[in-house]
Amino acid sequence: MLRKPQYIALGIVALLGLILLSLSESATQRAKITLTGLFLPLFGFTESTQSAARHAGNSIVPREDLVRELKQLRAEKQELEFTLTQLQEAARENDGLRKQAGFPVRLPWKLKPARVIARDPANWWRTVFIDVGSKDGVRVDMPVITPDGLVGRVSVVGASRSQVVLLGDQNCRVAAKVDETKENGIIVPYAADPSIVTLTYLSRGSPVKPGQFIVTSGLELKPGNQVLTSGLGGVFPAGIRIGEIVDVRSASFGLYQEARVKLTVNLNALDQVWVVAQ
Amino acid sequence: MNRLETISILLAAWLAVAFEVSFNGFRNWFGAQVSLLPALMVYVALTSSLPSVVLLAIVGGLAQDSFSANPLGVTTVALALTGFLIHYKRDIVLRDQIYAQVMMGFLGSSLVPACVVLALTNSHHPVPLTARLAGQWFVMAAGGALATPLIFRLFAQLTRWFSYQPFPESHYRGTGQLKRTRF
Repeated sequence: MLRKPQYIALGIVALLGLILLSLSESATQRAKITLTGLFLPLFGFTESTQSAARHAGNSIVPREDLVRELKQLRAEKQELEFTLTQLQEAARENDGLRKQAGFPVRLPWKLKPARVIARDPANWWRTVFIDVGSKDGVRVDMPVITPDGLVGRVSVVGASRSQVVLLGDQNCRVAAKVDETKENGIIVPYAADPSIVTLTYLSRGSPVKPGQFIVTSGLELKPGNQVLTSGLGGVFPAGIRIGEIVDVRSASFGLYQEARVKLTVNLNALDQVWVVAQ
Repeated sequence: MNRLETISILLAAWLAVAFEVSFNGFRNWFGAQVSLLPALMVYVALTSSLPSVVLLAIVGGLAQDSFSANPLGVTTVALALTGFLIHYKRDIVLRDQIYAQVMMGFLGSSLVPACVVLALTNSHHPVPLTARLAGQWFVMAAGGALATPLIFRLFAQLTRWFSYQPFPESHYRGTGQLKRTRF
Protein backbone atom coordinates (compact mmCIF):
# COMPACT_ATOMS: atom_id res chain seq x y z
CA MET A 1 0.00 0.00 0.00
CA LEU A 2 1.07 3.59 -0.56
CA ARG A 3 2.27 5.47 2.51
CA LYS A 4 1.33 9.02 3.47
CA PRO A 5 4.41 10.76 1.95
CA GLN A 6 3.76 8.95 -1.32
CA TYR A 7 0.19 10.21 -1.38
CA ILE A 8 1.45 13.75 -0.76
CA ALA A 9 4.04 13.49 -3.57
CA LEU A 10 1.46 12.08 -5.97
CA GLY A 11 -0.92 14.87 -5.02
CA ILE A 12 1.75 17.56 -5.60
CA VAL A 13 2.60 16.27 -9.09
CA ALA A 14 -1.05 15.76 -10.05
CA LEU A 15 -1.94 19.28 -8.88
CA LEU A 16 1.02 20.82 -10.71
CA GLY A 17 0.15 18.89 -13.87
CA LEU A 18 -3.47 20.04 -13.73
CA ILE A 19 -2.44 23.66 -13.20
CA LEU A 20 0.06 23.58 -16.07
CA LEU A 21 -2.23 21.78 -18.49
CA SER A 22 -5.07 24.24 -17.81
CA LEU A 23 -2.96 27.34 -18.48
CA SER A 24 -3.95 29.50 -21.44
CA GLU A 25 -2.00 29.24 -24.70
CA SER A 26 -0.29 32.62 -24.23
CA ALA A 27 0.68 31.87 -20.62
CA THR A 28 2.08 28.48 -21.67
CA GLN A 29 4.14 30.07 -24.44
CA ARG A 30 5.52 32.72 -22.08
CA ALA A 31 6.42 30.05 -19.53
CA LYS A 32 8.11 27.93 -22.20
CA ILE A 33 10.20 30.82 -23.51
CA THR A 34 11.20 31.71 -19.93
CA LEU A 35 12.21 28.14 -19.16
CA THR A 36 14.34 27.90 -22.29
CA GLY A 37 16.33 30.84 -20.89
CA LEU A 38 17.84 28.39 -18.40
CA PHE A 39 19.69 26.87 -21.34
CA LEU A 40 21.30 30.10 -22.58
CA PRO A 41 24.75 29.02 -21.29
CA LEU A 42 24.41 25.91 -23.44
CA PHE A 43 23.65 27.93 -26.56
CA GLY A 44 26.60 30.22 -25.87
CA PHE A 45 28.88 27.26 -25.25
CA THR A 46 27.73 25.54 -28.46
CA GLU A 47 28.29 28.68 -30.52
CA SER A 48 31.75 29.32 -29.07
CA THR A 49 32.70 25.66 -29.60
CA GLN A 50 31.56 25.75 -33.22
CA SER A 51 33.35 29.05 -33.75
CA ALA A 52 36.57 27.63 -32.29
CA ALA A 53 36.23 24.54 -34.49
CA ARG A 54 35.72 26.74 -37.56
CA HIS A 55 38.80 28.83 -36.70
CA ALA A 56 40.83 25.68 -36.18
CA GLY A 57 39.58 24.29 -39.50
CA ASN A 58 40.33 27.55 -41.34
CA SER A 59 43.89 27.64 -40.09
CA ILE A 60 44.75 24.26 -41.61
CA VAL A 61 43.28 24.86 -45.09
CA PRO A 62 46.14 25.08 -47.63
CA ARG A 63 46.72 28.52 -49.22
CA GLU A 64 46.47 27.05 -52.76
CA ASP A 65 42.92 25.82 -52.06
CA LEU A 66 41.91 29.23 -50.73
CA VAL A 67 43.33 31.06 -53.78
CA ARG A 68 41.57 28.64 -56.16
CA GLU A 69 38.28 29.07 -54.30
CA LEU A 70 38.71 32.86 -54.33
CA LYS A 71 39.16 32.87 -58.11
CA GLN A 72 36.08 30.69 -58.54
CA LEU A 73 34.00 32.93 -56.27
CA ARG A 74 35.15 36.08 -58.14
CA ALA A 75 34.03 34.54 -61.44
CA GLU A 76 30.68 33.56 -59.93
CA LYS A 77 30.27 37.07 -58.47
CA GLN A 78 30.81 38.70 -61.87
CA GLU A 79 28.30 36.34 -63.46
CA LEU A 80 25.77 37.08 -60.71
CA GLU A 81 26.31 40.82 -61.13
CA PHE A 82 25.38 40.54 -64.82
CA THR A 83 22.29 38.53 -63.90
CA LEU A 84 21.40 41.07 -61.21
CA THR A 85 21.63 43.94 -63.71
CA GLN A 86 19.29 42.10 -66.10
CA LEU A 87 16.87 41.25 -63.30
CA GLN A 88 16.86 44.82 -61.97
CA GLU A 89 15.96 46.05 -65.44
CA ALA A 90 13.20 43.42 -65.67
CA ALA A 91 11.93 44.40 -62.22
CA ARG A 92 11.83 48.09 -63.23
CA GLU A 93 9.92 47.16 -66.36
CA ASN A 94 7.56 44.95 -64.33
CA ASP A 95 6.93 47.73 -61.79
CA GLY A 96 6.13 50.16 -64.61
CA LEU A 97 3.72 47.73 -66.26
CA ARG A 98 2.04 46.92 -62.92
CA LYS A 99 1.63 50.65 -62.28
CA GLN A 100 0.09 51.14 -65.76
CA ALA A 101 -2.26 48.18 -65.19
CA GLY A 102 -3.24 49.51 -61.75
CA PHE A 103 -1.76 46.57 -59.80
CA PRO A 104 -0.08 47.29 -56.42
CA VAL A 105 3.73 47.38 -56.51
CA ARG A 106 5.44 44.31 -55.04
CA LEU A 107 7.63 45.11 -52.05
CA PRO A 108 10.95 43.27 -51.72
CA TRP A 109 11.39 40.80 -48.85
CA LYS A 110 13.25 41.87 -45.74
CA LEU A 111 15.33 38.89 -44.69
CA LYS A 112 16.53 38.40 -41.13
CA PRO A 113 19.29 35.78 -40.75
CA ALA A 114 18.97 33.37 -37.84
CA ARG A 115 20.73 30.33 -36.47
CA VAL A 116 19.03 27.11 -35.33
CA ILE A 117 19.92 26.67 -31.66
CA ALA A 118 17.73 23.78 -30.50
CA ARG A 119 15.46 21.06 -31.82
CA ASP A 120 12.27 19.56 -30.50
CA PRO A 121 13.21 16.65 -28.22
CA ALA A 122 9.87 14.93 -28.90
CA ASN A 123 9.94 12.73 -31.98
CA TRP A 124 6.33 13.36 -32.96
CA TRP A 125 6.70 17.14 -33.45
CA ARG A 126 8.88 18.98 -35.95
CA THR A 127 9.93 22.30 -34.47
CA VAL A 128 13.22 24.14 -33.93
CA PHE A 129 14.31 27.18 -31.94
CA ILE A 130 16.10 30.08 -33.66
CA ASP A 131 18.16 32.83 -32.06
CA VAL A 132 16.08 35.84 -33.13
CA GLY A 133 12.92 37.15 -31.47
CA SER A 134 10.65 40.14 -31.07
CA LYS A 135 13.67 42.40 -30.39
CA ASP A 136 14.78 41.63 -33.96
CA GLY A 137 11.35 42.33 -35.44
CA VAL A 138 10.19 38.71 -35.69
CA ARG A 139 6.45 38.11 -35.41
CA VAL A 140 4.23 35.03 -35.29
CA ASP A 141 3.47 33.39 -38.68
CA MET A 142 6.47 34.91 -40.49
CA PRO A 143 7.81 32.46 -43.10
CA VAL A 144 11.23 30.90 -42.56
CA ILE A 145 13.31 29.95 -45.61
CA THR A 146 16.75 28.89 -46.79
CA PRO A 147 18.23 29.44 -50.29
CA ASP A 148 16.96 25.90 -51.13
CA GLY A 149 13.34 26.63 -50.28
CA LEU A 150 10.66 26.89 -47.60
CA VAL A 151 11.42 25.68 -44.07
CA GLY A 152 8.31 26.58 -42.06
CA ARG A 153 6.76 29.44 -40.12
CA VAL A 154 7.36 31.14 -36.78
CA SER A 155 4.91 29.78 -34.20
CA VAL A 156 6.07 31.27 -30.87
CA VAL A 157 8.08 34.47 -30.38
CA GLY A 158 10.14 35.39 -27.33
CA ALA A 159 12.34 38.43 -26.81
CA SER A 160 15.48 36.84 -28.23
CA ARG A 161 14.36 33.35 -29.29
CA SER A 162 11.54 32.00 -31.44
CA GLN A 163 10.04 28.62 -32.16
CA VAL A 164 9.62 27.60 -35.79
CA VAL A 165 7.20 24.88 -36.84
CA LEU A 166 8.69 23.00 -39.80
CA LEU A 167 7.12 21.70 -43.00
CA GLY A 168 5.81 18.22 -42.38
CA ASP A 169 4.47 19.04 -38.91
CA GLN A 170 0.72 18.76 -38.60
CA ASN A 171 0.57 22.38 -37.37
CA CYS A 172 2.22 23.70 -40.57
CA ARG A 173 -0.10 23.57 -43.58
CA VAL A 174 0.87 25.53 -46.65
CA ALA A 175 -1.14 26.64 -49.67
CA ALA A 176 0.90 25.45 -52.66
CA LYS A 177 0.69 25.13 -56.43
CA VAL A 178 2.36 23.05 -59.08
CA ASP A 179 4.53 25.34 -61.18
CA GLU A 180 3.96 23.59 -64.52
CA THR A 181 0.18 23.09 -64.30
CA LYS A 182 -0.79 25.88 -61.84
CA GLU A 183 -2.88 23.35 -59.89
CA ASN A 184 -3.54 24.53 -56.31
CA GLY A 185 -3.48 22.31 -53.26
CA ILE A 186 -2.49 22.16 -49.60
CA ILE A 187 0.72 20.74 -48.16
CA VAL A 188 0.02 18.33 -45.27
CA PRO A 189 2.35 15.90 -43.43
CA TYR A 190 3.31 12.49 -44.81
CA ALA A 191 3.64 10.13 -41.87
CA ALA A 192 6.05 7.51 -43.23
CA ASP A 193 8.96 9.75 -44.30
CA PRO A 194 10.01 13.10 -42.80
CA SER A 195 11.65 14.28 -46.04
CA ILE A 196 8.36 13.97 -47.95
CA VAL A 197 5.08 15.87 -47.62
CA THR A 198 1.72 15.38 -49.29
CA LEU A 199 0.18 17.92 -51.67
CA THR A 200 -3.50 17.21 -51.40
CA TYR A 201 -6.85 18.52 -52.70
CA LEU A 202 -5.53 18.72 -56.27
CA SER A 203 -8.14 18.64 -59.01
CA ARG A 204 -8.55 15.34 -60.84
CA GLY A 205 -6.36 16.48 -63.69
CA SER A 206 -8.35 14.94 -66.51
CA PRO A 207 -7.77 16.71 -69.84
CA VAL A 208 -10.34 19.32 -70.77
CA LYS A 209 -12.63 18.30 -73.60
CA PRO A 210 -14.96 20.48 -75.66
CA GLY A 211 -18.36 20.80 -74.05
CA GLN A 212 -17.21 20.11 -70.46
CA PHE A 213 -18.25 22.52 -67.73
CA ILE A 214 -15.48 21.69 -65.23
CA VAL A 215 -12.41 23.60 -66.26
CA THR A 216 -8.99 22.43 -65.01
CA SER A 217 -5.57 23.32 -66.28
CA GLY A 218 -5.86 20.46 -68.71
CA LEU A 219 -2.38 19.23 -67.90
CA GLU A 220 -1.41 16.01 -66.13
CA LEU A 221 0.75 16.12 -63.01
CA LYS A 222 4.04 14.31 -63.48
CA PRO A 223 6.94 13.26 -61.25
CA GLY A 224 9.53 16.02 -61.28
CA ASN A 225 7.03 18.88 -61.44
CA GLN A 226 8.06 21.76 -59.17
CA VAL A 227 5.85 22.70 -56.19
CA LEU A 228 5.87 26.33 -54.99
CA THR A 229 3.95 28.35 -52.44
CA SER A 230 0.83 29.79 -54.03
CA GLY A 231 0.47 32.88 -51.83
CA LEU A 232 -3.12 31.93 -50.99
CA GLY A 233 -3.90 32.14 -47.29
CA GLY A 234 -1.75 35.20 -46.73
CA VAL A 235 0.98 33.61 -44.59
CA PHE A 236 3.56 32.54 -47.16
CA PRO A 237 4.44 34.77 -50.14
CA ALA A 238 4.00 33.22 -53.58
CA GLY A 239 6.83 31.56 -55.44
CA ILE A 240 8.94 29.97 -52.69
CA ARG A 241 10.17 26.50 -53.66
CA ILE A 242 8.83 23.60 -51.59
CA GLY A 243 9.89 20.52 -53.51
CA GLU A 244 9.18 18.32 -56.51
CA ILE A 245 6.51 15.72 -57.11
CA VAL A 246 7.50 12.08 -56.58
CA ASP A 247 4.24 10.41 -57.56
CA VAL A 248 0.53 11.14 -57.89
CA ARG A 249 -2.45 9.07 -56.83
CA SER A 250 -6.20 9.41 -56.72
CA ALA A 251 -7.78 10.02 -53.29
CA SER A 252 -11.25 9.79 -51.73
CA PHE A 253 -12.71 7.54 -54.45
CA GLY A 254 -11.35 9.73 -57.23
CA LEU A 255 -12.78 12.97 -55.85
CA TYR A 256 -9.37 14.64 -55.94
CA GLN A 257 -5.67 13.82 -56.35
CA GLU A 258 -2.77 13.68 -53.92
CA ALA A 259 0.90 14.00 -54.79
CA ARG A 260 3.89 13.04 -52.67
CA VAL A 261 6.41 15.88 -52.72
CA LYS A 262 10.11 15.50 -51.93
CA LEU A 263 11.24 18.58 -49.98
CA THR A 264 14.11 20.62 -51.42
CA VAL A 265 15.35 21.58 -47.95
CA ASN A 266 16.99 18.95 -45.72
CA LEU A 267 15.18 19.77 -42.49
CA ASN A 268 17.46 17.49 -40.43
CA ALA A 269 20.54 19.53 -41.34
CA LEU A 270 19.25 23.04 -40.71
CA ASP A 271 21.80 25.49 -39.37
CA GLN A 272 21.36 28.95 -40.91
CA VAL A 273 17.86 30.13 -41.90
CA TRP A 274 16.24 33.43 -42.90
CA VAL A 275 13.03 34.87 -41.48
CA VAL A 276 11.01 36.70 -44.13
CA ALA A 277 9.54 39.99 -42.89
CA GLN A 278 7.15 40.85 -45.72
CA MET B 1 17.92 13.75 0.17
CA ASN B 2 21.18 15.61 0.77
CA ARG B 3 22.37 18.74 -0.99
CA LEU B 4 24.87 16.93 -3.22
CA GLU B 5 22.18 14.54 -4.40
CA THR B 6 19.80 17.41 -5.20
CA ILE B 7 22.45 19.31 -7.16
CA SER B 8 23.58 16.24 -9.07
CA ILE B 9 19.99 15.32 -10.04
CA LEU B 10 19.26 18.87 -11.22
CA LEU B 11 22.52 19.03 -13.15
CA ALA B 12 21.92 15.63 -14.73
CA ALA B 13 18.40 16.63 -15.80
CA TRP B 14 19.75 19.87 -17.33
CA LEU B 15 22.46 17.99 -19.20
CA ALA B 16 20.01 15.33 -20.39
CA VAL B 17 17.68 17.94 -21.90
CA ALA B 18 20.62 19.91 -23.33
CA PHE B 19 21.84 16.72 -25.03
CA GLU B 20 18.39 16.03 -26.49
CA VAL B 21 17.90 19.48 -27.97
CA SER B 22 21.41 20.00 -29.32
CA PHE B 23 22.62 16.56 -30.46
CA ASN B 24 21.01 15.46 -33.70
CA GLY B 25 23.01 12.29 -34.38
CA PHE B 26 20.46 9.71 -33.23
CA ARG B 27 17.77 11.44 -35.28
CA ASN B 28 19.94 11.22 -38.40
CA TRP B 29 21.11 7.63 -37.80
CA PHE B 30 18.00 5.95 -36.37
CA GLY B 31 15.20 8.37 -37.23
CA ALA B 32 14.41 9.12 -33.59
CA GLN B 33 15.91 11.09 -30.72
CA VAL B 34 16.82 9.07 -27.61
CA SER B 35 15.63 10.59 -24.34
CA LEU B 36 17.89 10.25 -21.31
CA LEU B 37 15.36 11.52 -18.76
CA PRO B 38 13.49 8.20 -18.37
CA ALA B 39 16.79 6.37 -17.79
CA LEU B 40 17.73 8.98 -15.21
CA MET B 41 14.33 8.56 -13.59
CA VAL B 42 14.91 4.79 -13.34
CA TYR B 43 18.19 5.42 -11.50
CA VAL B 44 16.64 7.97 -9.14
CA ALA B 45 13.55 5.84 -8.46
CA LEU B 46 15.64 2.76 -7.66
CA THR B 47 18.32 4.40 -5.55
CA SER B 48 16.93 7.59 -4.08
CA SER B 49 13.97 8.96 -2.16
CA LEU B 50 10.53 10.06 -3.25
CA PRO B 51 11.30 13.82 -3.11
CA SER B 52 14.12 13.16 -5.60
CA VAL B 53 11.66 11.45 -7.93
CA VAL B 54 9.29 14.42 -7.68
CA LEU B 55 12.13 16.91 -8.20
CA LEU B 56 13.41 15.16 -11.31
CA ALA B 57 9.90 14.78 -12.75
CA ILE B 58 9.14 18.47 -12.29
CA VAL B 59 12.48 19.94 -13.40
CA GLY B 60 13.20 17.48 -16.22
CA GLY B 61 9.65 17.40 -17.50
CA LEU B 62 9.26 21.17 -17.58
CA ALA B 63 12.65 21.65 -19.25
CA GLN B 64 11.84 19.09 -21.94
CA ASP B 65 8.35 20.45 -22.61
CA SER B 66 9.68 24.01 -22.88
CA PHE B 67 11.63 23.02 -26.02
CA SER B 68 8.82 20.95 -27.42
CA ALA B 69 5.40 21.53 -28.95
CA ASN B 70 4.00 19.27 -26.20
CA PRO B 71 1.59 20.95 -23.78
CA LEU B 72 3.58 22.18 -20.78
CA GLY B 73 3.48 19.63 -17.94
CA VAL B 74 2.59 16.49 -19.90
CA THR B 75 6.12 15.04 -19.64
CA THR B 76 6.22 15.92 -15.93
CA VAL B 77 3.16 13.79 -15.28
CA ALA B 78 4.50 10.92 -17.44
CA LEU B 79 7.89 10.95 -15.70
CA ALA B 80 6.29 11.12 -12.27
CA LEU B 81 3.98 8.17 -12.96
CA THR B 82 6.90 6.08 -14.21
CA GLY B 83 9.06 7.12 -11.26
CA PHE B 84 6.35 6.33 -8.68
CA LEU B 85 5.70 2.93 -10.23
CA ILE B 86 9.36 1.92 -10.16
CA HIS B 87 9.96 3.45 -6.70
CA TYR B 88 6.94 1.59 -5.30
CA LYS B 89 8.23 -1.78 -6.55
CA ARG B 90 11.95 -1.14 -6.05
CA ASP B 91 12.33 -3.73 -3.28
CA ILE B 92 11.74 -6.56 -5.74
CA VAL B 93 14.24 -5.23 -8.33
CA LEU B 94 17.86 -6.44 -8.29
CA ARG B 95 19.13 -2.94 -8.97
CA ASP B 96 22.84 -3.86 -8.85
CA GLN B 97 22.53 -6.33 -11.72
CA ILE B 98 23.13 -5.01 -15.23
CA TYR B 99 20.33 -7.02 -16.82
CA ALA B 100 17.87 -5.62 -14.26
CA GLN B 101 19.07 -2.09 -15.03
CA VAL B 102 18.66 -2.69 -18.77
CA MET B 103 15.18 -4.12 -18.34
CA MET B 104 14.07 -1.32 -16.04
CA GLY B 105 15.56 1.21 -18.49
CA PHE B 106 13.60 -0.38 -21.32
CA LEU B 107 10.43 -0.32 -19.22
CA GLY B 108 10.87 3.30 -18.15
CA SER B 109 11.90 4.56 -21.59
CA SER B 110 8.93 2.90 -23.24
CA LEU B 111 6.45 3.93 -20.54
CA VAL B 112 7.21 7.68 -20.58
CA PRO B 113 6.64 8.28 -24.34
CA ALA B 114 3.62 5.95 -24.25
CA CYS B 115 2.06 8.03 -21.45
CA VAL B 116 2.81 11.29 -23.32
CA VAL B 117 1.33 10.03 -26.60
CA LEU B 118 -1.70 8.66 -24.74
CA ALA B 119 -2.22 12.06 -23.10
CA LEU B 120 -1.77 13.85 -26.44
CA THR B 121 -4.33 11.68 -28.23
CA ASN B 122 -6.89 13.00 -25.75
CA SER B 123 -5.86 16.63 -26.17
CA HIS B 124 -6.17 19.39 -28.78
CA HIS B 125 -2.87 18.21 -30.32
CA PRO B 126 -3.42 14.52 -31.18
CA VAL B 127 -0.42 12.62 -32.53
CA PRO B 128 -1.11 10.35 -35.53
CA LEU B 129 -0.47 6.73 -34.50
CA THR B 130 1.63 5.35 -37.36
CA ALA B 131 4.16 2.60 -37.97
CA ARG B 132 6.89 5.24 -37.97
CA LEU B 133 5.85 6.33 -34.48
CA ALA B 134 6.05 2.70 -33.32
CA GLY B 135 9.57 2.46 -34.73
CA GLN B 136 10.57 5.68 -32.98
CA TRP B 137 9.09 4.35 -29.75
CA PHE B 138 11.22 1.21 -30.01
CA VAL B 139 14.38 3.26 -30.69
CA MET B 140 13.65 5.40 -27.63
CA ALA B 141 13.05 2.32 -25.46
CA ALA B 142 16.20 0.56 -26.70
CA GLY B 143 18.30 3.73 -26.30
CA GLY B 144 17.01 4.24 -22.77
CA ALA B 145 17.72 0.57 -21.94
CA LEU B 146 21.35 0.96 -23.03
CA ALA B 147 21.75 4.32 -21.28
CA THR B 148 20.46 3.16 -17.88
CA PRO B 149 23.50 1.01 -16.85
CA LEU B 150 25.78 3.85 -17.99
CA ILE B 151 23.91 6.27 -15.73
CA PHE B 152 24.24 3.83 -12.82
CA ARG B 153 28.03 3.62 -13.44
CA LEU B 154 28.33 7.40 -13.75
CA PHE B 155 26.54 8.10 -10.49
CA ALA B 156 28.47 5.33 -8.71
CA GLN B 157 31.67 7.03 -9.81
CA LEU B 158 30.41 10.44 -8.66
CA THR B 159 29.45 8.96 -5.29
CA ARG B 160 32.97 7.54 -4.93
CA TRP B 161 34.49 10.94 -5.70
CA PHE B 162 32.31 13.18 -3.56
CA SER B 163 31.31 11.13 -0.52
CA TYR B 164 33.25 9.74 2.42
CA GLN B 165 34.46 6.21 1.87
CA PRO B 166 34.25 3.64 4.68
CA PHE B 167 37.60 3.14 6.35
CA PRO B 168 39.13 -0.11 5.05
CA GLU B 169 39.06 -2.89 7.61
CA SER B 170 42.49 -3.65 9.05
CA HIS B 171 43.78 -7.15 9.55
CA TYR B 172 44.91 -6.14 13.04
CA ARG B 173 42.27 -6.74 15.67
CA GLY B 174 42.71 -4.85 18.90
CA THR B 175 40.56 -7.31 20.81
CA GLY B 176 42.57 -10.32 19.73
CA GLN B 177 44.59 -12.25 22.34
CA LEU B 178 48.06 -13.67 21.95
CA LYS B 179 48.20 -17.17 23.24
CA ARG B 180 51.59 -18.45 24.33
CA THR B 181 52.19 -22.07 23.69
CA ARG B 182 55.18 -24.29 24.08
CA PHE B 183 56.97 -25.39 20.95
